[in-house]
Amino acid sequence: MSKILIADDDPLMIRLLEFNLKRHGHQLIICREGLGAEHLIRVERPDIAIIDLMLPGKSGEELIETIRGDEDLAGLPIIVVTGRGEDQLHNQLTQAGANRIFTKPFAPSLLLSAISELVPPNE
Amino acid sequence: MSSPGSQPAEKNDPQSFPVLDHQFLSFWKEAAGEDLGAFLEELKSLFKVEYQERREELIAALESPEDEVLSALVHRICGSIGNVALGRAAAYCRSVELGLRAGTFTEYDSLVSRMDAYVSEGLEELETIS
Repeated sequence: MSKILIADDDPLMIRLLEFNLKRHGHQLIICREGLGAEHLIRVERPDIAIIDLMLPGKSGEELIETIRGDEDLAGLPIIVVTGRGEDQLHNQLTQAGANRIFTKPFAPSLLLSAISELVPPNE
Repeated sequence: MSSPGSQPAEKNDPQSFPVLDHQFLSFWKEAAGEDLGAFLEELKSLFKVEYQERREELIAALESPEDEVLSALVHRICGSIGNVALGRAAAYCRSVELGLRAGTFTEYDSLVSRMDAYVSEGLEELETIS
């Protein structure tokens, strides 16, 4: 079981993620805007973060930059979910420090596999 | 409300997309299993509330249309529409969003009515599944 932070302002996407991840025993921390997500990452210390690109307050890309630029948080695995599938954007996000990028819609099994890969079970 | 089929053919015509995104539906089936019906009902309820709110924002923004503002709103609506597997409605929103970003979109007057029509069509078909 992993402690997963979800930063997304779309109630439908939150519910989809919640439905899939809780069924597999993961503990979720949900935040609907970027600044709050940054705060929760510092306080709650999740094992992994699933971040939407278009967040109010602080965008997903800015949030990734903050995490990767902070020595204390830099090791946090990050999965980005986005409705945009452009290669250029995906390259940009990878360079910014995203570990995986999923373009909506994506198969729940792929997301679960990515979480298992990025968060080893003993953590 | 206009019929989704009443518009002439165009590049990336939404009519060429299936009403429902069956790939996404199969993802749900994979995740929800026997709970699919109840899960779809819940998603539809969430979607209707979300769509109504975003639609009102869009109508307000259309009073003095700025393509950048509209494209951000349409992008968000497109995401919600995609989350309930309304493939054709999402295709229409994507084409609008691309047109707004490229500065080639002109059909401001019919945007909401066409979007409503595609969404209604999709929700009706979704009813047959759940």
